[in-house]
Amino acid sequence: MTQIFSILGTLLILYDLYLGFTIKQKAPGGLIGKQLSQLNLLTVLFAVGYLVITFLIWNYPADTLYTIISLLLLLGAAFIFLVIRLIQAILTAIG
Amino acid sequence: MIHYQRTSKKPDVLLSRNELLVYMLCREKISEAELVERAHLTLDEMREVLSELQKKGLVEAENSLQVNSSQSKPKANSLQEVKQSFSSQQVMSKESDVSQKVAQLQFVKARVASVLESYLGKQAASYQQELESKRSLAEIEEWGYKLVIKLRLAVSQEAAVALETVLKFLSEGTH
Repeated sequence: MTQIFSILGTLLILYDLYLGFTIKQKAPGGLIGKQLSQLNLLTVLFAVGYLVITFLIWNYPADTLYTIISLLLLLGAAFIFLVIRLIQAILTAIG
Repeated sequence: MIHYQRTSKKPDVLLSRNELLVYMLCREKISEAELVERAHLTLDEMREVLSELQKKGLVEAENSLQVNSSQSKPKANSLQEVKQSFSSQQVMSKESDVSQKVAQLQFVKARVASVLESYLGKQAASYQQELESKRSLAEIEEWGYKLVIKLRLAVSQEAAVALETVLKFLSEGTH
């Protein structure tokens, strides 16, 4: 279960990264543009962290604590996904 | 009385707001007094603008005493002639109002376009195309405020502030 959550979290955060940089082209400046740059930078750091953690806990024996951590990582990636979708919706609305 | 009219030369330099306005009003032969009245400028300001336009070769002065006398004292020998004269004056007045509005619209478009270009560079081209399609000041104002939000959120806050300033100036001028 730990490995599944970790892989899903890593894949989702990589997709977040892709979405974030795609949207950045539509908002090169302004309030959203600046905040999106910071969000993308943090997402890069998180993605590296997710990869490292997935690699580190891959061969660990099943443990409730690791399962909870990997589930939290997955939910964190989902949270970033929702934020990016919200920004995407705002950009679509303002044309 | 001195009348002014445009020359055949086309403006090849950027004109100021007042210069552009007076240049547009000089599409037909027009006296200094009429220019002052229609452009809402003082006589000194108007003379300054006219001399600038004359230096640039865009407007020429004409000492037309005959034109003046024939305009100010129409030969109204009969009621019919008076009516005709009155209706033609009304038509001329409407035409000058239209030309004044067109001049104002062109001025506002030029101002907004220059602001966008100075802040956004090549990126302003798409907005300038949208701007050109606008047919009235109200349309420009509505479109402009939407663009301010878009610029502020997604493109450039500096451009948004500059555009908003122009639009405020425009709305103060029209209301």
